[in-house]
Amino acid sequence: MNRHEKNSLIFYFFLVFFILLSVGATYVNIIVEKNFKQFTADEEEPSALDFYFHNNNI
Amino acid sequence: MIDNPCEWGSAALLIFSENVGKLIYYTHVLPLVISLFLGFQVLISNPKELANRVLFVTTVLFATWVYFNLILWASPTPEMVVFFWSLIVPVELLMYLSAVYLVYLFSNRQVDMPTWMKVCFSLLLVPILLFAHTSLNVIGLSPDCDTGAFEGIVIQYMYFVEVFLLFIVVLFIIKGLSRIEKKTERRQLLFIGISTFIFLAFFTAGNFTLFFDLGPYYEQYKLFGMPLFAGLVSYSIIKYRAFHTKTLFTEILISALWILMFSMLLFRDMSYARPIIFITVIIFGFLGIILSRVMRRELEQKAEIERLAVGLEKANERLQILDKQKSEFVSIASHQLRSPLTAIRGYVSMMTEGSFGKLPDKANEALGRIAESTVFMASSIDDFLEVSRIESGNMKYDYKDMNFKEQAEHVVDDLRADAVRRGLLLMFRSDMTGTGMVHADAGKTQQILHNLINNALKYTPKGSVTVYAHDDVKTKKMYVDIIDTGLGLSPESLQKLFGKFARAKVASSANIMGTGLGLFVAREMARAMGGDITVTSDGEGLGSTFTITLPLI
Repeated sequence: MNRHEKNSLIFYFFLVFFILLSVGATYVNIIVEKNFKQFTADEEEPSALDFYFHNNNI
Repeated sequence: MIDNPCEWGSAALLIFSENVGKLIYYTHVLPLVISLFLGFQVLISNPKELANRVLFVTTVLFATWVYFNLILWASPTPEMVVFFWSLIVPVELLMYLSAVYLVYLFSNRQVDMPTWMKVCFSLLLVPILLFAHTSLNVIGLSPDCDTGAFEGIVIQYMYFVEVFLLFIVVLFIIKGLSRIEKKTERRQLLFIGISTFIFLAFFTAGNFTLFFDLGPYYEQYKLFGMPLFAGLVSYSIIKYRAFHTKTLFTEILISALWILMFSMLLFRDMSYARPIIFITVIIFGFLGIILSRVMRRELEQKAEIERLAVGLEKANERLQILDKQKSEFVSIASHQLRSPLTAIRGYVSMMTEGSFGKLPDKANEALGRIAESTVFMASSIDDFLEVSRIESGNMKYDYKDMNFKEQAEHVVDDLRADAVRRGLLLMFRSDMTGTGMVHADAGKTQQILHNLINNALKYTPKGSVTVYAHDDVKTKKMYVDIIDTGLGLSPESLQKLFGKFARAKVASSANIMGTGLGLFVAREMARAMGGDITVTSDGEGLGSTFTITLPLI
């Protein structure tokens, strides 16, 4: 295994590690903690453009 | 627990639900199957090739994206919707990065991307991986079950990164085209680059439809980039041997693809999608025709090459045997035939000179014929050996400055007695403006002159043979014409005369002995010395003219 292959392997290891970490965190937050907002029909829907420019829904 | 206003049904394998429209399945399942089919086919055909692995990863990421998206449509619980919405974001960006990586490989002659560049591209993922689980990614669940969830700033960020990556794809294509000179590699890059661009551009365009509140159905068109991508990649596999795969699977893939696309037109409840499907079917029909033509030609050529290769192998074996036989023959000619011939000639000479006592006149006459025959036989063997030397490139030439005109005159003098014996008139004429000096092998030129004048004498039953030396100072050429009033040559004989073992028709009928090698050897020698021998004749019975040409000094 040459230097480039070693570096690539380390890179992919960390990439997969962080992806799994992110997926794990998402799973805990959404599925386990159910930490998300359910909008109701009478609530004003945040359109993508409104959200992007005004960012007042976070 | 969150209050759920939607009617959530159960979904088999998370994706099969009655709540999901048929169009959604069609737009999802078809590209999913095609992408996996293409990815696995390319990977299995050559798993060691980096580009094949990257294409496989890209197609698997695409299939994962499609599967997650189907879950969003059919998901039985709100948390599942938000969860998969959150996951679909990193999957989508990873797919883009993988596709960019693929184009990079083709723009860089399949040499891997340096690690620093991989790290730089991966940094684009950082905000998404960091905030995937937060409301910055998915704000919350929409009250409308069809649209899923509201998108946060992370998703907006991803959309703009995607546009940036599209520019990177174009950049890689331009950079690669400026560096790669080999035509096939350039075409491979163009096809893979453009098909990847189309694939990603469809996706990006689909994403941007959400900005303009066109409804969720328009977003589904973004998945049609994959069949186009698969088609173009398949074409490049066949035409330019990209990914080094066999072509058969690709043809099956493209046919299946077209049938599936066409069948979509027949669905009644897809009337609103018909225009785009119709256009796709036409594009695929066109691609399919090109593919099948290229495929047929490729297969025919392959079969032809294989057939020729087998024939060539056999011919080569036969040639080797013949070459061996020829070498053996040359060896026999030079040693086994020549040695006894020398003995025969020696003893005949001794007998005619009376070394074994006085012989009767009839015996002397017979010995004279034996002597003539041995001279002919020795000359034939010499011809064979000359041919052998010419063909093996072993003929040696001893170049010197010499007077070709004088040499021709001397040869005529030498052969005059023979001409008289045959009852012929042998004349020499010249019309020279220069000295007639040439740079050639005197032995070989003498041999050529002897050969041609002897031939003229042999093939002229009555009349004369004229040797005419002349030159052309402008073209710096010296000519010696041997003009006879003999048997002449037919146009067919003229064409074949200088071939090996070629003899004029009249030679056999006039019972003139010869191997048919003399003219071949003479012309090869003349050509090797920068000259030539040509022949003209008005027809059989009308005589002929042989012209020896040599360059003047």
